[in-house]
Parts: sequence; C-alpha cells; structure tokens
Amino acid sequence: MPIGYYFAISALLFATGLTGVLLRRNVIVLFMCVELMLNAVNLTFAAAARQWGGADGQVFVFFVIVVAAAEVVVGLALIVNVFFRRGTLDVDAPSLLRR
Amino acid sequence: MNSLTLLAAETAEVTKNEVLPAAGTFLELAWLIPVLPLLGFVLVLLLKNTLRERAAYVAIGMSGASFLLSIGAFLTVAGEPGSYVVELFDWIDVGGFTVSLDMLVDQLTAVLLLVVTGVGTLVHVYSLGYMYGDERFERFFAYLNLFLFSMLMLVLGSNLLGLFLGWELVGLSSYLLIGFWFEDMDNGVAAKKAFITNRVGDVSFMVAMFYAFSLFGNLDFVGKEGILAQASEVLSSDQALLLGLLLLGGAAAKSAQIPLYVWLPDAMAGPTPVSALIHAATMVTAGVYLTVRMSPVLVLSIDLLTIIAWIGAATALVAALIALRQDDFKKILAYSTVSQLGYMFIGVGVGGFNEGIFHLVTHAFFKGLLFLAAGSVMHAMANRTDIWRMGGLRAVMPITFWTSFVAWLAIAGVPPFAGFWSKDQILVIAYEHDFVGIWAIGLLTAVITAFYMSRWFFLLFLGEPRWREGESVVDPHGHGATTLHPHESPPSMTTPLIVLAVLSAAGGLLNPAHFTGPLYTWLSPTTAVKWPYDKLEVSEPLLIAASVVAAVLGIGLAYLAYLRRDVSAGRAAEVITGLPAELLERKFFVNELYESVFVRFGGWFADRLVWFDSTVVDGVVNGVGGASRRLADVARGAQTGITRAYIGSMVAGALVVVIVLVAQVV
Repeated sequence: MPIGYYFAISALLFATGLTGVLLRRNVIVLFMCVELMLNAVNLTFAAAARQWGGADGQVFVFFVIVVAAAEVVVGLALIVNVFFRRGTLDVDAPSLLRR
Repeated sequence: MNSLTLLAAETAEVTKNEVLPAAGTFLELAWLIPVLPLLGFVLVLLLKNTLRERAAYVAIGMSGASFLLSIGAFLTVAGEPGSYVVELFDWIDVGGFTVSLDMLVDQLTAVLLLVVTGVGTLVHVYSLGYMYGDERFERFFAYLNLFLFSMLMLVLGSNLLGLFLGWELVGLSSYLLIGFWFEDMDNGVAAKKAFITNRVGDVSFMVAMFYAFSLFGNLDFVGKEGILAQASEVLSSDQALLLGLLLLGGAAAKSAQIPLYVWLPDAMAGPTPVSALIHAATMVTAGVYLTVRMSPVLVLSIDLLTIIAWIGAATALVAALIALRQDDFKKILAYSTVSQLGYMFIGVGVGGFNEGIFHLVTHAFFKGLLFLAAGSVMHAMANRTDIWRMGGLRAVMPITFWTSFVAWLAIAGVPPFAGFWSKDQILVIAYEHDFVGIWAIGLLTAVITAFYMSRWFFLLFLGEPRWREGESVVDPHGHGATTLHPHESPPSMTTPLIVLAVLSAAGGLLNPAHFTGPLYTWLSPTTAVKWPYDKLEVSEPLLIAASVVAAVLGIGLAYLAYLRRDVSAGRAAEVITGLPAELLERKFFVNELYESVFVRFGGWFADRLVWFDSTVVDGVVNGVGGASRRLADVARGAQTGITRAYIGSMVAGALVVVIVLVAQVV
C-alpha cells in the first residue's frame, strides 16, 4: 500500500478534527475533535516510520499518547468543574477575563 | 618718630610660625573650648523645664569656663609661640582626600578666642537681665551657647572645611536668633533674608574650596603641605586672584560688604544682645578673619587686594551715609557696623592685616557696648526705638549714659579711645601702601561716622526729653500698652556695660604704636606683613592729625546741628533736607533694586521655568502615556475572549507559515 493513502486518511482525519474544533461549541465535542487531530498526526508518524524504517516516528507516537492521556485527565477535570459551577458546556460561556 | 617706626618695620625680621604638637601642653584641653558651650546648649534644651531660670546660669557658666580655657590657650601660645595643631580625628577620608577635624591654635586664633568668649560671656550676663521674663528665656540661652560653639568651631578650624563647618553653624544660630520672636512676621522675614543672602556667599566659599583643593591637594592651613605655606610656590598671580575672589564672595556675605550687606540692617529684628554679640562683635567679623587667615594667598595679587580695598571703602562710605538719616537707633548702629566692617576690609585690602584684626577687636568692644547700651535704653523706654522720641536720658540712666559716652568717643575716633588707634592705623597703612584714594574715602567716612554717632548720642541722651513720664506706649513686641517709666537697668546689664566701657577706653593700649605695638608684633608670625608692592613716604603725625581733625569736625557739625538748634520738632528739624535726605532715608533704593532685579525677575524667570516644566517636560511624559493608551485601545480589540476565534487565527497563522514554506520549496 503506497504511503500516500495513509497521508490522505490522516489529512482527512486532521481536517475533520480541525473543522470540529473551529465550528462546534460543546466542550466535550471540542475535546474529542482535538483527540482526533492528535491521532491523525500519530497515524502520519507511524506510517512514515514504517515506510522509511526510522524509530523516531514511533517514539514520537508514544510521547503523543502519553501527553494526550495526561491532557485528557486535566481537561476533563476542568470540564467537569466548569459544568458543576456554570451548568453549561458552551465553550464561549466562561468569558470573565474578557472584561 | 615716623621714620623710626618705618625703619623698625623694615628691619624687624618676622619669624614665621613653626607647627608644634599640642600634646603635652595645656592645649590638649583646647577641644573643651567649643565643646563646653555645646554641652550647655544640649543641657539647657533637654532640661529646660526642670532648670527654668537657672538655665541662664548653666549657659553663663559654660561660656565663662570657655573664656577661662581661652585665657589658658592664649598663655600657652604666649609662652612658646607657634601654630599648635590639636589633633582630634579624621572627619572625611575618601581616596586621596583627607579632612581632619583638628584645631589650630596660633596667635591669630588666640586673639579671636579671647574676643569671642570674652564678649560672649558679657553678653550672656547682660541677657540675664535683658531677657528676664521672656516666655522663651531658656531657649534664648540655649541658642546663645549654640552660637558660641559654632563661632569657636569657626575660629579653631585647622582647614578650610573645618572653618566652613563653623561658618555654616553660625549662619544657623544667627537665623535662629534673628527670628527669635517669630510671632512677628517681619522678624521671620528678616531671618530668612539673612540666611538666604548668606547662602549666596556660601556657594562662593564652597567653589573656593573646590578650587583650593584642585590647586593644593588638601585644605589645611598650616603644615608643610598646607595652603599658607605653599601659596607663594604653587599659585600664580591669576590663580591667587581667582581663589581670593571666590573667598571674598563668602567673606562679603558673612561680613555684610557690598553687594551682600542688605541682610545685616534687617538682622536687628533679633533681641538686642544678639545684635551686640552676633551682628556686631563676632559673627560678622568672620569674613575679616577668613581673609586675614588667607593673607599669604591674598598678597600674591595686587589686583585682588585693590578690589577688596575698594569694596571695603565703598561699603564704609555708603553705609555711613545711610546711617546719617536713620531714625531707629538700632538701625543706625547696624549701618555703622556695616561701615566699620568696611574699614576692616580696607585694612585687609591695603595689606594691613594686623590693623584689620586690631580694628576687629576694638570694634567688638565699642560696638558691642553701643548695642548693649541701646538695649539698656530700649529696656528703659518700653522697647521704643525711635530716636526722635528720646532725649535727656542722661539724667535717668547715668551708667548707660557714661558708658555710651566712652563708646561714642571710641567709635568717633577721638584719642585716646580704642577706635581712634585702630581706625587711624588702617588709614595710615592705606596711605603708606599707595592707596591714597582709599585713604581719602576712609577719612571722609571718619567725618561722617563722627557726625552720625554724635547725632545718635546727642538725640538719645542730651537735650530736652521728647517723651513724658507716665506716657502710654504700645509695646512693639505685642505685650500690650504700658506706661513709660524710664529707669536705669539692673546690675546684670550695667556690669557688662562698664567692663566694655573700660575696654573701649583702654583698648588702644593693645597697639598704641604702629608696626611696633604689642598686638602687631603678636599677630605678625601668622599674617603676611611683608608688602611686596609700591610704598609711599608718609608723615605719620600729619595723617594722625588729619584723623583727629576729621573726628572733631564730625562731632562739631553734629553739635551745631542737633545740640545748638531746637530739635523739639522731631524729624522736621533735620539739617539735610530734600532729595539727598530722601535718598539716604530710602537707603539708596538698594533694597528696592534687589527686590526688582532678584526677587521680581527671579520670580518671573522661575515662572517661565515652571511653564517649561509643566508644558514641555510633563507634555512629553503625558504624551508617551497617552499614545501607549490609544495603541492599547486598538490592540485590545483583538482579545475577543472567544476561544474558537483564537484557534481560527492560530490555524490561519499556521496556514500562512505552511504556504510560505511550500512556496520556498517550490
């Protein structure tokens, strides 16, 4: 299978995630979209590593997974807290610092 | 006799002072001379409420002890002549710049010490009676002691900076004492005027010290490296001129010479003992002391000496003229002091340094006495000072009358009283050192001096009374109205009068012969007595005769004007009338001139500076602030607070980067 397919899928996934981040207002969905973008990048890394036989790409994937897991923990905790305090999942609602 | 005295002056080899250590002599105690009055000042201020009237005795005791120590110092120097440096401690030690707070005791210092502590103690005693009942009685004595400390520091300073320390301290004490009755706004204004005028001179003095340091590398008077020993080798004539002019700036302010004399007549706002001690006998002579101390520098430039002599002559004449038409009898004495200080500067300027100091000493006696007598009269006349409402006080105050009589003859220059000798010797040396113009002005001033002092004396003590017993008087110090009961002052006031009268009468014995008298010989090792410039042949008896004629002429004219004529009409009976009288009464409009030039113009200039500050300087600062604010107002529009907008712009930025990179590759 040529590497171009992997890249095409990965680009599609990334674009989907980015569109979701830009357009959706629900924090949970936003969060999932970010995960989607991360995993699109992971796919690119893994494909490239296999194609050219380098270990760097695979190592990066592990790093991204670990960081993503940590980020999910912090992010979800924030979301839960915001929901308890504000009763909303709208990403534009908490805007105290703006004024 | 004339040729004999001159011969003596030519041949007598003056041995200059050796620097001697003070250790092992009586002078180890010299530091106590200023410290005792300082102790008195602190004690009286701290224990004011406990001591009450006894504060005066503490202050008098300290002053008297200081006087006794000064006698000891004098005797030590007399025993083995030399410049004693009493080493105390290093005051400033920065890099190569070392200033020690040492004390210099030599012949010149010893004379000044005796005058300052002697007259000082007498004035302390006098104040006991004069200030009795004043609500700030204790504070007055504290300040007097502070002044004594300051003046002694000035006299004892072994370098220019040490002298300057005392110089500033006497300025402070003078300010405190002029404004002693500060409830009256005018007194406060007079105190400020004195202080500020003196600041002008202080700046000049400070620049002089910087300049001296750059030339000599230190500020010490004596010693191998000292200014006085090095002056003739280090300084060129022009450098001596510049250094001398800068020092003269300081001296002219402190000693009330043209153009900085205006503060002294106003300084009479202070209590009369203060006028006697500070503004006649001691502090105002500090400028004379400074110039005499620096005499080895001054003699290097004949231009400098000529300038000093002409300033002195102009001051002596102008102040004497103004004194002719003053009605306040303290003001007459004030202008007289300015005039007599002018004589001392003539002495310094014509190279008669010893004669200048001699006049300083005799002046301290008779002018101190005149002021104390004036105070005694004020005491008797409910603080009234208008000379036209006096007269005939001879009968009610015999002691004040007789002591004033002596002082009057002394200042008028009648032999054999003290003032005659010192004034005459200044005039003789002026003539001998080829300053004939100065001599003529000095002689004219002597006539005027005799005239206005006779006016003072006649209008106060002789003639018919121009007041009534039991008359109601409004006290100028705001103690309400009192009735007039002239009386002789208490013994605490008359005793100092008598002592000073004896000194004024016999002061001439200090130096009855020019160039060979005891005081002249005594001072010579410390001053530059050798005259390297032109000399004239003089006939001393002729000059003495001229001085005597001048005195008699002045007194005679005043006799015709104020005793032989009916003066009951008061001011209307004055002899000088019209424009000249107006000019003299308004003091040649000098105060008005200074008011318009320095105060008004200075104020106008300051206003312009304020405008510049508030418009240009503040404008720049505010402009920068305002511009940042407006820029921020624009920039903060970007902070929407909408997360997706941020992400959008991030993506857009990333896209731009990608496009740029791709474009570069392709």
